[in-house]
Parts: sequence; structure tokens; C-alpha cells
Amino acid sequence: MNPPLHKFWLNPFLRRYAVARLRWQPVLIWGMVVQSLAAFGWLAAFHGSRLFGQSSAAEAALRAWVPILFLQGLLLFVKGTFSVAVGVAREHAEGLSDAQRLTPLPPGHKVLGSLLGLPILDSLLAASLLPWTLASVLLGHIPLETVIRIHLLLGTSAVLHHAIGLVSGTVIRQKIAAGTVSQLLVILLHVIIPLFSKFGVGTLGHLGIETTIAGELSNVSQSAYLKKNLDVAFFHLNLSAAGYQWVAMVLLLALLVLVLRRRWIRAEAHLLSKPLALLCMLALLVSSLGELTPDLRSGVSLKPPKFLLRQLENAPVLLQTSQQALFPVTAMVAFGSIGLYMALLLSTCIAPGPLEIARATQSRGFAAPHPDSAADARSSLPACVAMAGMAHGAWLFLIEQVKANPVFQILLSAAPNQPAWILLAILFPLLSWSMLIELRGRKFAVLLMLSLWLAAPMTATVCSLAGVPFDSWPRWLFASSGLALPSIALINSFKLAPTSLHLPWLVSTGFHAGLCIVLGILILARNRRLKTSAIGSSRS
Amino acid sequence: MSVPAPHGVWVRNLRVDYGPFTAVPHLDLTIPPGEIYGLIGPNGAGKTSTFRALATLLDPVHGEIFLGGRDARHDPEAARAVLAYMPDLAPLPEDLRAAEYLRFFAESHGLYGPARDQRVAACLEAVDLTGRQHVFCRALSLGMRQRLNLARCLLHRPKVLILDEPASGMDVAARASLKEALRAQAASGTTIILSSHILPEVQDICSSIGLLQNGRLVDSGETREVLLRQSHAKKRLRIRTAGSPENLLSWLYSPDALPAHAPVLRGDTVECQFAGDTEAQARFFTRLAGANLAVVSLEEIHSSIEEVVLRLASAPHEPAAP
Ligand SMILES: Nc1ncnc2c1ncn2[C@@H]1O[C@H](COP(=O)(O)OP(=O)(O)OP(=O)(O)O)[C@@H](O)[C@H]1O
Ligand SMILES: [Mg+2]
Repeated sequence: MNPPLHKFWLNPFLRRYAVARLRWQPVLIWGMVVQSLAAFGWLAAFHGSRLFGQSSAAEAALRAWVPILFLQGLLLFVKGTFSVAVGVAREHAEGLSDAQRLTPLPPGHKVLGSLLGLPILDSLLAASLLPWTLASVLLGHIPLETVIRIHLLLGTSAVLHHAIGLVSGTVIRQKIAAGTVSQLLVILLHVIIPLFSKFGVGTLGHLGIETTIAGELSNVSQSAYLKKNLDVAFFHLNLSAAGYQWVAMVLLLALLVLVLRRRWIRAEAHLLSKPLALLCMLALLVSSLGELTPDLRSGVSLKPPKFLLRQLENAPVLLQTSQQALFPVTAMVAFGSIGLYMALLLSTCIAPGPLEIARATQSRGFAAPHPDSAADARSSLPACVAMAGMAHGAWLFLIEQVKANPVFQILLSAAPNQPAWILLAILFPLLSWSMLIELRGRKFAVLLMLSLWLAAPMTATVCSLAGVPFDSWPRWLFASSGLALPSIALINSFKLAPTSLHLPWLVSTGFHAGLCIVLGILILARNRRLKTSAIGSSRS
Repeated sequence: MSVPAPHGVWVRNLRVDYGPFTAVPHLDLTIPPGEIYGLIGPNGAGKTSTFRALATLLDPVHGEIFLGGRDARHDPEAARAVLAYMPDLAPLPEDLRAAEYLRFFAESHGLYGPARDQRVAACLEAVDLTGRQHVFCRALSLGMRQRLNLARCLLHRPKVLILDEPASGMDVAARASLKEALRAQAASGTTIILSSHILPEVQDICSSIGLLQNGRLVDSGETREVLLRQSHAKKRLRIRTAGSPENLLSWLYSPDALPAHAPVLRGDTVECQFAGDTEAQARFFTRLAGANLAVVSLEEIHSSIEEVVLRLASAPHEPAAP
């Protein structure tokens, strides 16, 4: 009855947004603004670089493409993402999406239609700049291959941004907040995550496309004013940066589309199903390992972050260790923690709250509820154990890589080789977090984490910076945080570790294990109570 | 499990919770096709909650729901194809014109080209909005917005029409045309379930009604029967006398007059409550006639639907079962 997905021009959502957003007035005004900006940018860059840079016409045309790309990025990533987030939040807030949920249009159509339709004005404005691009391509003799590659990256990244806007609008349901959050996410994607990617999770660094596009341009430029694109080493493979980035973006996009589809089917669905969460964890670990291991094996292009070097230069133990060895240490410590943080994030998405569990127990024995809601209400603890196991396995793999490189042998001579430690350090905080959510709900768990897991290590850090010797009480406070456990477990395994953290780590791990047991008992008791009351009320 | 009705609305053991609060503890409902059923009850009785659960927009704790013969719990997509739901204060997109809005939903239901335009025109016609089709939704008045939403609900010829307070904001003419539209729908076999606080309207439109209180169905059936039953539960008699009303009043206070009680003087008539069946009423009449009070007429006062709902609202608020 509904037209197939690939006939996207028949998609009702796309058509509805096209009608609403492409009225002649805004199109005319925006078109004029954007064209005049583009004309100024292109002509100024072209003549400017001829005048001041003494460039050839071809080189000037290549440089004149940059402001056009910048303008397209601004339109697609910033304006487009904002209008998607605000648009979809408004439809949710007004309750319109309920009416749309009742139409027989399959959820995939709705996702596709909103994804392409909500930012349609911005996409068309970006497309209206293509004549300027054509001028650059023709005058600059830019190879077609480069042009296609850049547009593929730009287009995919734009859809990815819009999907992010769609998810934030769907989750937040509040116009202004959704718009703000979507913009923060864009900043996060382009600025903050690439910074963090230096600490061992290289994949995330590929989500912003500026450097890749700049690299592509430099590849064809005569003057190397930007550094050219290097291939990405991935396990034993050498992949082109653009191709690798494209695959990473497409995978993330697919994940977001699945999330949106779930939400279209059921408004209160968890963002991720449990198998999907496990798959996410696996993908992140594998891709991070893929980018870490070539560096570790070769040991050539290793550069530890400068601030870390400065910090550790004074440590006496370090003087005997090669500086090069610092990189694998920071990478591994970060990797251990990121395994935990990622698992915490994913388990927050899949752990059912107490109300969900109560409702599922009460509806047991009656006509089966919606299969999705039953799956959502199931305990997340098995998935948590699996995620901890995955993180642990990835860490073991990493250790093997480090061992294979003779440069790092010196580091590991003192390593106690107790791989079980890292497993415990991830498992207990993760389980207690999930159990807390299942027992008291997300808000309570987040509140507790803020007060205990974040405030404790922060206080310890500030106090030791202020002059309190770290070896006195601050180390206990520091180690009490569940978030710090994997890093401490890893630091403990290396020669450069201060020994003072061994005991606090043991105590804190024991505490979290105890917490798991107590929470487990409380959950069991609660579940039994729910079951008896459900049986009672179904008899009455 | 008993065999569900093939059509209409069939609900068993429905329970709706909001977190720890139970809005609808237990609801059974059977509405045959072609019926216009009014769900009435005070604010917070659980009408909207029931409707949202029926419309597959709210996950009930438990319960079986069949709409037009489709299992709404196990196959919500199938049920959604035959139902239409109009929420109270139904929203409209601010950025579309009336006809564009209807076209969007027609296309979502798989209608394109001339078939779509014909259907849109017919539905605009049914709610008397043909002249407004090029007006932006944001520029419509409250009553017109309600009517446009109703038109949207009619687009795919639903078998079950769920309307939450459809008449709110409509003027007299619009309510009359709403009544027309609903009757025409029901005549074509659509089951309509609606809630409304405009009680004379309900009494007028609905072929049967249900009284909802604290999420429980207090009474349900044909409109006239329900009202009769509800007024029997608290029947009142009006007695007019040619003689002295005071004498009548004092007789009504005597044990002879039981089960009539609580008499009050209203001008030259006396009203009292009566807690007995028809035979007791006949015996009471014989005694009254024999008491030499010059009674000229004895009249039964039926509760109006307003009084019934008022009684529901003022009844002690029993806590919903956990
Ligand atoms: N989202 C919600 N969260 C918590 N409680 C709710 C929610 N929605 C409704 N309730 C409660 O459920 C009960 C039933 O509400 P419902 O909206 O179904 O009543 P109603 O019969 O439609 O009332 P009205 O005539 O005012 O529209 C009320 O006590 C209300 O407070
Ligand atoms: Mg209501």
C-alpha cells in the first residue's frame, strides 16, 4: 500500500517537509544570503590568493573552493542539525508524532523521510553552491576522483549530523534544549572527541571530517600548505583515510537509524536493544584496537601527550624508563578506563528501571505484552558481564601486542600479570551501576555517581595539588571511585606505578564487590515481593 | 480465553499505570460495530488513559484489546490500520495549510494522486471546512482545529474511531455538523467511542454510554437504560396536593410513608426520596391515596445525566487497588 523505501520522492514525510519548508519566501531570502556570501567568499579567495599568494589560476581556484566547502559545512552541520533537532522536538512536544505513529507507514520510511525532509532547505541551499564548486573544479583542474570523494564525505557526514540532531530531538522533546544539545554534540564531534582520540580511541577522531577534506585538497594542491592525508594503519591493513572515515560514519549512521526506528515503534523504548549494545561495545573495542596495535607493534610514530611527559618527568622511577614507553602506558590506561566508561554508557541505555520491572512482573501471566517492552524490561546484568568480558579480552590482546615489541619489555618486567584484576576492576563498578539503576532508577544512579564516583577523585586531586601528600588519605579517596578502578589496576601492573595505590585499590574493589552483593540481595527480595503481589492482584 | 467479538471494540481486564499510580485498575468493555459509545466521568476518571491504551499509544500493564477484529496488543500495526484517534486538544503542525495537512496523512495511508485529492476533499466536506483548505493550520480557530483533526481521522475510513472530547471548542453549528458526521460514520459500520463533558450532546449522540469513576466502569449500556438505572438507584417523587402541603409533609415523616424519606417542601409540592422497587412504589401509592391528603398528582423525577455525573464526581474517592 505504501510506496517502497527507495522511491523516496513519494515518501510522505519528505513531501510534507518539502511543502512546509520550501515556500518561496524563505527560499528566496536564504538563497540570496547564501549566494552573496558564496560569491564573496569564492571571489575574494580567488583574487586574494592571486594577488597576495602569487598563485597560479589553478591553485587560486582550488583555494577558492575552501570557503564554499566551509559555507556548505556551516549550512549542513550547524543550521541543518539545528533545524532537524528543533523540528522533531516540536513535533514530539506538540503530540503530532503520536498521530504519525498511528499511520501504517513503516518506521523506516518515517526515519528516512524525517532525516531527508527536516533539513531539506539547508540541503538545497548547500546544493545551490555547487556552481561555485564547478568553477573551482574546472579552473583548478581538480581530479574527478577527489571531487567525488570529498562530496561523499560531506554528504555522509551531513546525514550523520542530521541523524544526531534527530536522536537528540527525539530523546529530549524540548525545542530549545534539543537545539542546544544538538549544537553541543556537533562541537563535541568536531572538537572534543578528536582531542580525546589521542588517548587510545583513534576511531572517534575520524568523526570530524575537516582534516580529511583538508588532506584531500592538499593531496592535489601544488603548494603543500596543509599536511597531506596519511593512510590509516588498521591491524595489518593500510586503509585510505577517506575510505576508513566513510565506513566509520556509515556504521554510526546505521546505529542511529536503528535507534530512531525503535523509538518510532514504541515511544518509551530503550535506545538500544541488548544485542545491539553488545555489538556497539564490540565495534568500538575492535576499531580502537585496530588503530592502536600497529603503533604498538612498530613503536615508531609514538608520541606521548606533552603534558603527561611534563607531569611524569619528575618521577624518579621514570628516569630509568624510555620515554617512548610512555605512550603504550597512557594508551592502555586510557583504554582500560574507556572500556568501563563505554560499558557504563551502554548499560545506562539498556538497564530497565524499577517501574519497568514492576510493570513487567505484573503483566506476566496475562496476554503477552509487546515483545520489545518485555525484552527491554529484562535484566541488563548478563549483558554487563559480557561487556566486561569483552573489555577484558581487548585489554589482554593489547598486552600481547605490547609484549611483542622489545622496546616495551622493560615496562612489563614488573607487571604482576594478573589479568583477572582488570576484569574485576571493570566488572564490579559496572554491575553495581546497573543494579543501582534496576533497583532505584536512572536519576538516583546518576546522582550517586556524581556524588561518589566523580566528587571523590576530584577532591583527592585538588587536595594533593594543594599540598596534602597524596600518599596520605587522598589516595584512599581517589581509589574509592569506581571510575578510577581500571586505571589504577593497570597502573599497578607497571613498573612506574606508585606502590601506594595497591591497598586502596584492593579495598575499593572489595567495597564494590560487597555493594554488588548487597544490591543483588535487595533486587532478589524486591523481585520476590513483586511476584507475590502480582499473583495476589491477578487472583482478586 | 473466550472468542473475541469479530468487530467493534472488545476490551478485557485492562489496567493502565503511570509509574506507581494506577489510573485504570480494571476495565472490561464491549462495543458492537456501528455503535456510538460515550465514555463519561469526572476529570481524572481515566478516560484519556483508556483511550490512549486503546489507540496503542500507551502500554497498559495488562489487558486484551481487539479493535475491528485486530489484536491491538500482539499486532499493533494491524490495529493501527483500522483505528483513528483524536486526542483532546489535538495538535496541528503550524507550518502546513489545512489541505496540505490532510494530504500528508492521506499519503501516509498510501493514497496518492487523484484518489488522494478526492478523499481529502470529501473529508473537508464532511467537517464543513472546504472553504478553509488554503488557510494555515495556525490560523484556524479552536473549533476549526478540532474539525480538521476529525477530518484527518476520517481519511482512511477507520473501523474504530476514538475521539477524546471532540466537541470541546465547537460552536452550536459545528456540534450539529459533528453529530451528522458521526452518525453517517456509524451508519457505515464504524464503531465510535468518544468522551465528552458536554453531557446533553452525549445524551443526544450516543446510542450507549459508560460511566467511568476512578478508572472503573460503574455502569454501561444503552443510554436510556443507564440513565434509568442510575436514577432508580436514587429515585425521587414529586407529590402535588390540593390540600395543605404541611399535612402531606408530616404524613411523609410518619413510618406509614416508608420507604419514602427525606421529604422537602417546594412551594405547593413536596419532593421526597424513594428507596424501593416498583411494587413498593405501588403499595406506597395505595397508602398515600388512603391517607385523605387530597393528592392530585404523583410524579417520578428522573435524574438528568448531569446529576448522575455530579454524583460520580462527589462520591467518596476510593483508592484504586494496588
Ligand atoms: N502522564 C501522567 N502521569 C501520571 N499520572 C497521570 C498521567 N496522565 C494522567 N494521569 C493520572 O491518571 C488519572 C486519569 O487521567 P486521565 O487523563 O485518563 O483522566 P480523564 O478522564 O481523561 O480526565 P479529563 O476529563 O480531565 O480529561 C488522573 O488521576 C491523572 O492524574
Ligand atoms: Mg482526558
